[in-house]
Amino acid sequence: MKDSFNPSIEPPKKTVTLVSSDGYDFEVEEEVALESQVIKDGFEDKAVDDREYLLFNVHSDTLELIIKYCEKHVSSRKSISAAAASSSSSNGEEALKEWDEHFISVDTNTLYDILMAADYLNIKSLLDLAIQKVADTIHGRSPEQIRKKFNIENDSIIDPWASE
Amino acid sequence: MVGERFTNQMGVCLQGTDRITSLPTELVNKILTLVPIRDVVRTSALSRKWRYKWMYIPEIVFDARSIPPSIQEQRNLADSVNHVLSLHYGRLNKFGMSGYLVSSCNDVDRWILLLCRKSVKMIILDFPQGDRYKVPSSLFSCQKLELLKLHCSILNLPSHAKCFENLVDLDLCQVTLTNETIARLMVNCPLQKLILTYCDGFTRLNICAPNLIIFVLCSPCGSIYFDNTPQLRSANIEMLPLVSEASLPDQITNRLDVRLTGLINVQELYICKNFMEILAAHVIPERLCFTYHILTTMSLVMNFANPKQNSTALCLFRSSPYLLSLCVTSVSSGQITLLDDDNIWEPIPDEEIIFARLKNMVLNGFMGSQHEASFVQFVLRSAVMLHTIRITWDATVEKGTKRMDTLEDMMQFCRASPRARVIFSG
Repeated sequence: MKDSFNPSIEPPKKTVTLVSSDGYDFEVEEEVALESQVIKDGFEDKAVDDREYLLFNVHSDTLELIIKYCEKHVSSRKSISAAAASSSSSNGEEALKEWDEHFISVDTNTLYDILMAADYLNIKSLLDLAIQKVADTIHGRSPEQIRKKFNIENDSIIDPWASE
Repeated sequence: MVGERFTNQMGVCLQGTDRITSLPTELVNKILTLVPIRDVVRTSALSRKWRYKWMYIPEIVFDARSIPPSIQEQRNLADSVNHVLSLHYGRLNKFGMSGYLVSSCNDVDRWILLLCRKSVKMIILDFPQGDRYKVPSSLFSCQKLELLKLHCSILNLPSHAKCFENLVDLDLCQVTLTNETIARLMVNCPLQKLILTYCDGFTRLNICAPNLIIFVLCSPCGSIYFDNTPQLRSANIEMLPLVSEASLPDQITNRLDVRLTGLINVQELYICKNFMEILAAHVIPERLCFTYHILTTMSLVMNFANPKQNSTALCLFRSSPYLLSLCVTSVSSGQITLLDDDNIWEPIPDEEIIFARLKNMVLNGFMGSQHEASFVQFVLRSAVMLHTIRITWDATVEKGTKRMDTLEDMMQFCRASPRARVIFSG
């Protein structure tokens, strides 16, 4: 949560608590949590003092990454729209893209965790990012290289397409 | 609240285990959709579980990314497509084929039939330059079709065939089609986007598409009329001259108001060279009988030496009080020369409010003529919110004294907006 934007000028934020599968509490600002469509749906129906979400399928290590991603996107969106309003030029979107690229450059296991968590929490932009990363890993690699990358065991008896 | 969709657990150390194979089909499909088709098919060699996974992908696209030079040979390519389509299982959302297949390849007819059975929603057929592919009428049996993109084809909707009922996006480039076909493609479907670039075979367009949002035309055409386009937000119009003289003169109207009335709800309006000439041939009122209430972006290609084009532009500006951004490209045809007395930009009284909200203007192809300069003067004098004017010199104007003289004159123009900047380039 290092990247959170400076809240000193703004009124105190409402927060919600996310609980990871291994029992850790993460207190995040409401708008950060609302990046997840699953949390957003039905958010209004939940009582204000009961805004706690048990994320049975997200480990604390992954949740920390997910929160980092959402915070970055919420704050970048604000600065991009602020720049647009004052019609000053900004390379905010490009910078965010670069940040995303760096964020998703993780080992296969972490990538898988992020992918599943983004799907589970329905965070579209993150899911797209993770999916694109997996697709890029498959693109242009031989079956042998892909197997190695994803630890797929070759149990084929014959390789009907390998001779292509 | 958040449901338990996956019960298998994360967080446990899974280093060295195969986790991608057990991803839900939906996610595997999403991943494979982003991979070139050649690599998609090759995943069948990964393991037993992967052998059939690719056959359920929702999109099949053969494009430059997926076709290695070795199979660009026609027969091999057709064989690859046949192979993939015959093994593909179930419904298909999108089929795309770009660039390599010659129009005489009759396999395409068969693919279209197959696609039709797969309830395909998007078809992209992009043939290379050359003979045009005659699209079989079986295409019109694809009633689920929402997007159709054709390049270098002949499209003819037979009178007995049903038109598409679900078509949303129609993008035709170098396609031959008749007046009747184009008219029937628009009716009875929720068309939102219509793009016609370098198409031919038709002489007039009567745009009757109540859901249309984006319209782009850059084709030879004798007459255009917007009959029913209440949702149209972006219109980009260039009507190239018809090659044959077969077309009758346009008899719909000679009133600019009537011609443009269907464009009343546009946010973006791009008027290219020939369309400007056509508009200027109408009876030009001082201002249109309606106001462009949401038009914020306008682009015009105009000849400043033509008095009628100047009047048309002024009429459009008067009718567009909410304009934020304007791009004018100056062209010269050298035919009509405007006398200085005809300069309409000078006598406009200061009290008249035009360009009340204009923030940015771009003037391309600036030749430094008197009329262009007085147009710039007019914008500077009228636009109180003006932020920037960017002027690009026409490449034919030599650097040196002429440019300097013009610049000196323009330095003296008064500015209604204190923060207005004028930037020259080119």
